[in-house]
This record gives sequence, C-alpha cells and structure tokens, in this order.
Amino acid sequence: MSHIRTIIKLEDPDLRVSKDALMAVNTAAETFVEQFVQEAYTCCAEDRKKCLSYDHLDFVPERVKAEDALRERSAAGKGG
Amino acid sequence: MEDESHNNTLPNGFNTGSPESPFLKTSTTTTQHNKEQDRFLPIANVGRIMKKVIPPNGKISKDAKETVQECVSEFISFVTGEASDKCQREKRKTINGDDVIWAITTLGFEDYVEPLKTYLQKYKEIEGEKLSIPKQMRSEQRLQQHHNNYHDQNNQPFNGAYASSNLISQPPYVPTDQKFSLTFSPNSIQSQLRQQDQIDSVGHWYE
Repeated sequence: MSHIRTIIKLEDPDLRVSKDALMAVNTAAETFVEQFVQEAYTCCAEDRKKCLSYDHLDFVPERVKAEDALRERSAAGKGG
Repeated sequence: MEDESHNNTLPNGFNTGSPESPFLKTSTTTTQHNKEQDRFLPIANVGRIMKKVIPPNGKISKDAKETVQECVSEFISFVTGEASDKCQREKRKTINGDDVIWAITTLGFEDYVEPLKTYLQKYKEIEGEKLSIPKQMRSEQRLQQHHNNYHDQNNQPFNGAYASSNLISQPPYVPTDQKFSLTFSPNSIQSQLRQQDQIDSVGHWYE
C-alpha cells in the first residue's frame, strides 16, 4: 500500500489519497496484472512455450502520454 | 600568500571524502537506483501475482516481470491521474474510492468495476465496525476474550487414560490360570486400600 501511495505522490505530491482509494487502486492493479498475464500466457501457449517472456507481451502498446490517449479515445467516440 | 595544493589524503593513505571518493560515487548511484525503484511496485509481489494465474509448471522470465512491473505503475498513474483531474474539477483535495471507480470506468476497464465495488463495500463495512467501537473498548474486549479462553482451558475436566475415575471404576484383575498360589488374596489388598482412602491424610500423620 505504501508503494502505491509513493507512486501516486510522484505524479502529484500535493494530492491527498484516502484509505479506500488506495485499497481500490491496489485491487484494480492486481486485477490488471492477472488479466494482462492471462492474455500474455495465451500467446505463450499458442507459441508452445512454457516460459512467459517479453515477446509474449507484444500487445503492450508503445509509450503514449495519458492525455494523448484520452484525446484519441474521445475523438474516436465522437467520430463513431 | 602562496598557493598551496591541499590534498585530502591522510598520512595512512585514506581519502577524507573528496568528490572523487569511490564511496561517494557508490552512495549516489545507490540513491538513484532507490529512486528508480520507488516508481515501481516490488518485483517479488508482481511476480507472485503473475504466478497465481499461470499453470504451476509455467515459468516467467525476468524481463517479462520487469515489463509488467512497469505496466502496473503506468496503470496506477493513469487511473489516479484521471481521478485527480475529477477532484480538481470538483474542487476537492482528496481522492476517494468512488473517484477511482469512476476513473477506471472512464478509461475503459469496465470489467474491473463490479469486483471493485464489492471489495470496497466489504472494506467499508470492516472499517465502519472498527470506527463504531472505540479503540479502548476493542482492547478491553480482546483482553476479556483472552481471559475467558484461558479459564475455559483450565476448567476442562481431565479425561486422560490415567484419570483416577477410570482407575477406580475398573474391576479388580483376578487371574484365572495362575501356576503358583498367592500368599494373600486380591480382595484383602482391595479392602486395605479402601480403608486407607478413608483416613484423612493430615489426621493420619498426627495420630
């Protein structure tokens, strides 16, 4: 929990985070990892490999700023 | 005044901490490494969660763990950044659980919302119970419970194999196929024992 607080504080040091928000972020992060690894392991199984390596995480997008990604998302939503 | 070249070396050859000191160099690199690691969740924890969802015979490479570790940190920043923006718009200074759920929904992680809501609800219930009972009362209750448990353990009757009740209730052993004759009968010993039981131990010594 303290690590999550540290990561959040690195983004905005003045930001205050309640206990239940930390709990929510913690649970969401865990769910994210589980789902992410499950999808990656599917690629791994298709490749007939037992070891999950970086190559199986090829659906990880390239680094994009959060605001850019959101802008693209909202633009796509309006266009559709 | 002449220019003197001050060297920070002691007579025994040790350096007194000039900028070129190797000790200083290592400490700065360590600090940088620690700051780098602060950006991420511990790799052991990430690895543990990853292992949970793959088969027992499956393996995970170090670079995969590191990538996921980085992704999780990005995810946390992404979600909290969105929640933070919402708080700023609403002129609030503290992010709460509902803001996080809203951010997760907005960012397209709708699958996470239901389990998260359930989890948060349970967490709030537990926290509510803690708040409803003052800390002192809770500690007193804990002490009382511990005290009761201790007494329950001590007051339990002893039902071992060698309990006196078990020994007395058993019938006397009378062998049927004896090859030799006894100089005394088993019944006489029993009667002697019963008489001795009736004597008060203190009275017995004072007689």
